[in-house]
Amino acid sequence: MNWHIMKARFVMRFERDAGYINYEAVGRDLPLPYIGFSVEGWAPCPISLMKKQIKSIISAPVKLPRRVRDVVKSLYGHLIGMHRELRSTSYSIGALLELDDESDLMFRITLTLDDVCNDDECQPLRWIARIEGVYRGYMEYHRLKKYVEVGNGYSGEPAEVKAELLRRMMLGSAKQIYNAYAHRCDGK
Amino acid sequence: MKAAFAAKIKRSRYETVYEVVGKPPHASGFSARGFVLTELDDASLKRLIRRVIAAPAKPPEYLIEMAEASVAHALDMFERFGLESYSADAELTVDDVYDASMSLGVSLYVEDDGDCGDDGAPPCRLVAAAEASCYGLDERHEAMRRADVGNAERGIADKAAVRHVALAALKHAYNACPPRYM
Repeated sequence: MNWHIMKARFVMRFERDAGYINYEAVGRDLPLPYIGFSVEGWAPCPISLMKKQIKSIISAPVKLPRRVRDVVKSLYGHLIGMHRELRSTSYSIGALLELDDESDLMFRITLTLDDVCNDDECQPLRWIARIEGVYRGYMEYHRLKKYVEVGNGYSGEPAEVKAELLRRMMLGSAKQIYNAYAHRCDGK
Repeated sequence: MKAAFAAKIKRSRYETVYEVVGKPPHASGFSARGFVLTELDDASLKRLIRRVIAAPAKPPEYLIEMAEASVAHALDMFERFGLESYSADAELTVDDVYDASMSLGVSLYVEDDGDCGDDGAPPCRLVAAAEASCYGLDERHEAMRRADVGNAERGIADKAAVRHVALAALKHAYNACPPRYM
């Protein structure tokens, strides 16, 4: 099994398994906001089609349908509201919506204050957003994971979440996982 | 303890673990479990378990606010978008000195038993579940509540029932902690 190096600084690998192709694509040495990006999944498609689908997930060319966009915007609104009003140290929110009779889209975001260390000699506090998007179809499955720093503070100062960055990351990730559905390889 | 619950206790050299379930299991839609690392005699442990079940103390306003906000958003998402499932977990620090925190997870989902919603079969149900926990440096307590809150085909949940599930779980877990931390 070989890793294929793609243009956009992603590496991919494929594995055949009983009529299905398992794949994994991981971002490497990428600057923000792509730090910690990966996508994995399986489908019964030729590798060439699968590569196209993965590229569409990475580059996210289609527009999100209104319903999906509104769900993500509502999740963002609630998340940032809970963060600002309640000063929660960790907040996770997720939703599963049906795209059609055979397809579901799951989207989850976890916002955590990374407080491993906040002393003078240590790293400052950071707000970390972990985003997970899953498209589950009749015969295929794709999972996107992203890990992004969305705010930091220096020792003795509170870390603030950069709301606009968080909003863009959530909508961008939703678009990326929606592309797994929009470009699904059975072509339905 | 009243007949509706059974408590299991396991002691080891380093911790005391307890588990409380309805009889038969989950009949009441309530269960709780936890552990304490410090030594706790039988009477104190029994008192703790009774507090978790009966939940006599009211959580502070900001914790109730957290629960209310999660419930309101969950209901809104279901009514507006007809989601298959929704969940939200929030964690708040409640005592910096003892490093104690409380968390509450609220879920609303369509329970699909495989047949529901098919021709001639009953409609799928909407279920609300909440899990609350309170934890500090040397103890952790979790309480779970669950209830059937509506008909998934209509996409409308009984608001009062969802709210009750979330606030009850929060109250059970909160009562496991005070007065040690809060």
